[in-house]
Amino acid sequence: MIRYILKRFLMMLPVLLAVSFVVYFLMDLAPGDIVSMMAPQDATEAEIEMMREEMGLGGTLPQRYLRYMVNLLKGDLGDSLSMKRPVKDVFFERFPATLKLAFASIIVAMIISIPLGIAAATNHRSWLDGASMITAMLGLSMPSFWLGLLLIILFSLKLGWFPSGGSSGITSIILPAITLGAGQAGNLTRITRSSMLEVIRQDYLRTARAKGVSENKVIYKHALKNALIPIITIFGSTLGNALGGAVAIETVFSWPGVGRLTVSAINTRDMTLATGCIIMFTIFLTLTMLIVDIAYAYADPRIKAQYSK
Amino acid sequence: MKNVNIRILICLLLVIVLFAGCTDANNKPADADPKQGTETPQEQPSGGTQYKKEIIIAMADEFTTIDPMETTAESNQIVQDCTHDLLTDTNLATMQNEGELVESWEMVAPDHWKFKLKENVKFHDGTILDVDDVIFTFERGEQKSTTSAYIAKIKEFIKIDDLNFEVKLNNGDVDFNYVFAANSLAILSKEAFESMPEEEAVKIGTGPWKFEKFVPGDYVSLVRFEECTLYDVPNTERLVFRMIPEASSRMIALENGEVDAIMSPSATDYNRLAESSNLKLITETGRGQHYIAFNLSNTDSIVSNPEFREAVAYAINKEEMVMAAWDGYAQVSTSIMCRDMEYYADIDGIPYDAEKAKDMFKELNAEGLTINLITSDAAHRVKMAENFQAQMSKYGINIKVEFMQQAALTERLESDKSVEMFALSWTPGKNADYMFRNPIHSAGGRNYAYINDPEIDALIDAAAGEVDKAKRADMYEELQVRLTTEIIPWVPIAQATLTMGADNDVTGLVLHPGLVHQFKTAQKIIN
Repeated sequence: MIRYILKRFLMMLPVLLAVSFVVYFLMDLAPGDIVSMMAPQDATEAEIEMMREEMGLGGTLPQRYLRYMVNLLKGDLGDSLSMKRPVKDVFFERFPATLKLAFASIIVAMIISIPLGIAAATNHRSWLDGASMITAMLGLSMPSFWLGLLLIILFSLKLGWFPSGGSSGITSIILPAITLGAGQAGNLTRITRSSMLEVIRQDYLRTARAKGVSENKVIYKHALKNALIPIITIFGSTLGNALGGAVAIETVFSWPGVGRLTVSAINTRDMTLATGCIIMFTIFLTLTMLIVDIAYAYADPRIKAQYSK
Repeated sequence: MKNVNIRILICLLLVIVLFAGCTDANNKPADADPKQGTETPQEQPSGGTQYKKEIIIAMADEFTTIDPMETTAESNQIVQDCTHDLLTDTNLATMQNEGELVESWEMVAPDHWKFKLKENVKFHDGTILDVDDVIFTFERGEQKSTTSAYIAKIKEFIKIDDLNFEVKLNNGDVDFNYVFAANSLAILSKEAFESMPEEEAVKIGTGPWKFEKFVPGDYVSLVRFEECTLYDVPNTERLVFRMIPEASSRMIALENGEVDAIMSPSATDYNRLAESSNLKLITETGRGQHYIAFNLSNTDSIVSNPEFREAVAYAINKEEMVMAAWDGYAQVSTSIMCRDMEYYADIDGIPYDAEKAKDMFKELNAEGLTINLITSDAAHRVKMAENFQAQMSKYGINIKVEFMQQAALTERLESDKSVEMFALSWTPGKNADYMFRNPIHSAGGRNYAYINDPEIDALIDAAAGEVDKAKRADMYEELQVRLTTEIIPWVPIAQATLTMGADNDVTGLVLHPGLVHQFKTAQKIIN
């Protein structure tokens, strides 16, 4: 198992190299120049060139990329060109907010999707099954920014129950978590339902029922455990994406996460900040998938045995 | 099994109700610090006016730094304006450059100036402003790209005593006092930099507000400076700038009472604000000159023909464009120069005359031509360009519009010589020279129309150095007439109205034509 984990860590390095290469060169290819955007309107050509040198944007693209990679290998993501501060500091100032929102939305998604998926599977082809699937499709289809604004209008403006945005206090996370969680719940519900449907038809469950095991135990101890693998996979990728920051949600709810930060960095052509944020996102996504793979081992002992080979 | 599912669903509903019930009944969240109140009145001597303790302003863009020398973004300068001061600044009532930290100045010669600082101006750390702080600020500014160009104008800085200093310039500049009004040249405390880490020292200014807390991406809060000697101590105790990027979210927060004022409301909310009984729409003519421009260097295109440009100027119904792009919230321009600037001359310009335009286009055989126009994807520019396209189609001229991000637009304008027309805006600094120096002078860094007229260059240089105000006024009038009616690199369309939404009872909100809005005296009387 340890060997497997180490192997996965080593595999992360070429992934990070590839991501940094693609992002760095794409940012450079994108039209526009951060210096022109940041320079005062009345700056002359000479002043703009001075700014360019000050920001370390002198030299050819390969030279700049090499400088960047040498620093990256030392763990230095460089300084944000627009904020003049280390990218790591800027990223980790905002990351806790993204982490909070990601986990809160996953909790909301699980609270909705697991019971709904199980209810749909155990009442297959009934009105409950139909209602669950319609709910899931609604969650999947509704644009998140639209849902967010609707929730703000209802719960914040009309009812005054929650704040319309910001990140102060426990109440401010509820609406963004529900908005983000609703979209995630749609997918999770469908996966839970189909995974449970496959499992509840298995013979061993019929045997368990015949032995007199209670229905609750049949579903939650025997069936759900065996249906977990696909659910864990979707959970992992959902969490990984949420850690990258949900830009629309963060914008609508003024949530100070890394999604907004990354988009802002791209729009202002802040190459180091944009590249740094995307690299960090890649690291967290890869780590999340590693955790998912480890979770498989505990959900299914047969997989643990494979890791040990 | 069905009972299990029903029980689960009931539990789910209970959890949701529990969450809702746990919120404050009067949910006006303490945005910055849970300890802070919302509308608790300030303790006043009995019988005194009561003010709201905390004023919250919602801004569209992000605040990122309190260091005036590290930024030119208005979102940062708006906050810095509350905490730091400049040597001189524009008095918005008179639109004249006046002393802020400077009490008086004298131009001995265009290249030799004397300044006297105001006495007993306190920094937030308790130290008193003197010439050493100015020297320190300028020395720091030499190393910063936002300020080095200004400092480079100074050949010699002479300290006379703690309050008096002289500067000798490399070149004469009759408007040198305006240079000290650059927001990035806010004066910093030398002693603060000697006694504190830099990231703390940059927070120390002379403004009526002191930096308190910054949560990146969320808010920045200031507390009033109780020992302020330069201004009256604010009646508000705390000023919070919240970052709310989405316009509809800002409007909801204002309607909800979560914030007291919002910057950049959406045009669709203007009427709602204006007609509301407890909200108001604050407006001010901005200094941004919005225009349709031509690339004069593109000799392969008809746009390089001054008669064609004149015909386009006659062809544009500016009132119609103002309605389309700004819902009427803009002032039609008749001159290339912005109205609120010193030396603006109210020239006639080129009026809308569809018949004349039609005849001119016919003479030029312009009907049936396709001309490319590029602009950014900002909402007002898109509408401007589309309206221009629609108007020109009536004359049989097809305008092909291409939209792109602002950064991409700047790059195209700088590098693509095949550009024919573009829609852009120019927001000049505070004096007349800034109106022309960069966008019009052949050596200007923003001369995207590629004007290369030695006479115009000579006129701009001469006006910048002219000491006699009457002669200077004549020069700027001549510049305006020649550029607006003869050379026509731009067709000036309008100066957009700046807007802010606010609670009816909030005062002290000042819209600045140069976009660095002022909130030093923001307050709300509640009793």
